[in-house]
Amino acid sequence: MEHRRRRRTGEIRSFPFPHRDGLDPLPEFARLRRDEPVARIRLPSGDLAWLVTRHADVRRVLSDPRFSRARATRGDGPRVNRTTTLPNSILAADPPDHTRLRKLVAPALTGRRAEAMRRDIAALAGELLARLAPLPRPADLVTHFTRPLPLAVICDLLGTPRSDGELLDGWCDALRSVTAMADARVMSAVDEMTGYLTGLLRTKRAHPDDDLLSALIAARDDGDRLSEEELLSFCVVLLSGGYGTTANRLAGMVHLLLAEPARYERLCREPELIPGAVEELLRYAQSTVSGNLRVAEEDVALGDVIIREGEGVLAVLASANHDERAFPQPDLLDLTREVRSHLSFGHGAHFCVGAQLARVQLQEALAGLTRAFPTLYAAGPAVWKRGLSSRSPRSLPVGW
Amino acid sequence: MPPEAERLVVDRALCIGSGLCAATAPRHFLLAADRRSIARPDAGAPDADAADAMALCPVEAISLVPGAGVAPA
Repeated sequence: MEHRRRRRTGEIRSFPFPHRDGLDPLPEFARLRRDEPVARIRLPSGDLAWLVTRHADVRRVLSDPRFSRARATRGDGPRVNRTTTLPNSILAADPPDHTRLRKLVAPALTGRRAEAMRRDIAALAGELLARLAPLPRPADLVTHFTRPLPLAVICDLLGTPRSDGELLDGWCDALRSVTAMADARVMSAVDEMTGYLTGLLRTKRAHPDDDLLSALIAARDDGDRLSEEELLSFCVVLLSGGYGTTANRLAGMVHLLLAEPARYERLCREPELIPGAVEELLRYAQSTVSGNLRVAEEDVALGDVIIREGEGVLAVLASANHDERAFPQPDLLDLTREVRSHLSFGHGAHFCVGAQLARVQLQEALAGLTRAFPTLYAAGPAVWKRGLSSRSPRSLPVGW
Repeated sequence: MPPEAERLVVDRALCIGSGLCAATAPRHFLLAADRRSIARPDAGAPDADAADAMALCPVEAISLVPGAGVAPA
C-alpha cells in the first residue's frame, strides 16, 4: 500500500473566519490555498473538521461519493452546528435516495424549461423596474427589485402565493445561519416555515394545478415516491434555494457592478456581454464562504492529508473560485473573462438543480436593470448580512 | 432495454460540466480534461443508472443513439 504521511498541521483554526462586509477576496482563504489547502478547523458546534480551499480538491470532495452528506446530517458525527436542519431534504441525501428525489424536480428545471420562462421573467423584471422608477431616491434595490423578482419566479413555478416575501426572507436567513443566531432560533424558524408550508400543501392538495408543488404532491400521494417529511423538506429547499440564494446573488452582483461604475456602464453599453458577465460575477463574488459539511465514509487521501473515516470535510466554493491554479489573476473581476469552471453552483450529485433558471433570472435582471436605469449608482454603503453561510447585501441604496 | 443495441452520447456543445452524470452513473460517464462529460466507450449497454443520468442532466445533453461499441462521441 502506498505510504502517505499525514501533513503536520500548524494549528486548529476557528471557523468561520471573522466576517467582512463585501464580496471581495478573503485573505484567510488565499493563505490556506497557498500554505495549507486541507486545514484543520473547529466548527461552531465544537466539532473538528477539514477545510478544503483549492479548486481541484473542492471539486473532488463534491464529486467523490465517499464524502457523504447523509452522514453529516444523520446519526453521530461532526456537525457545523449542534442542531441539524432538514435531515430529510435532498441536500442531506446521498444516491440512490438523492437520485429518486432529484428526478422528481429535474424535469421542471432543465435549461430548456428555463429558456421557456425567459420571456415571462424579462416581463416581470420590467414591471418591477417600472414600479421602482417613480419612487423617491435613494431607494433600496433589495426591497424593490433583487428580492421580489426571484420570489415571484419561484412562487409561480411552485404555485404558491407571491405575497409572503418578508416571512420567507427571515426563514431563508435562519436556514443559512452559521453564527448569526442561536440554534434554538434556527429551529423555531424551521418550525414556523414548516407550519406555513403545511398550510400551503393542504390548500394545494385541495386545488391541484399545473405547477411543481402539485407534481410533488402527486408523487407523494399517488406514486408513494416521496414521504411526507421529504415533501415538506423539498418545499423548504426549493423556496430557500430558489428564492433566497438567487435574491442574495443578484443583490451581490449589482453591488459589485456599482462599486466600480465603469463595470455597470460597460454592461449598459454592451448588453451582449451580460451572459458572460453573470458567470464572471458568480465566480468572483466571495458569497458562499461556508459550506455543506460532508463526512468521509472511509479513509480518503486528499492532497497530503488522509481524511479518516468519520471525519468531516467542508469544501469552500468561494475559495475554489479564486484558486490561482484554476483562474489566472483570480482577484481581477474581468467581465469579458471566459469562465467555464466556477463552482458557484457546486458540482457532482448536488449540483444546483436551479442553476439554469438562476442563470436566466440573473441575465434578465441585469439586462432589464441596465436598460431601464443606465444612470444607476450606489447612493450609500450597502448593509450586509452577517453570520450566515453566504455573504450578501441586506439593503442596497441606489439613486439614478 | 430496446432490442437494438444503443449507446450513450453526450452533446459536448450543450454540456456545462455539472458532474451529475459522472456522479450518478460513474460506469458510463467521466469528465474529460476540459471538464465536460464524455460517455465511456467501453462501458457496455446503458443501464438504469445511465437512464437516471439522462433524466438528471440539467441541459438534456445525454441521448441514446443506435449502435454499439467504441465510437467517438
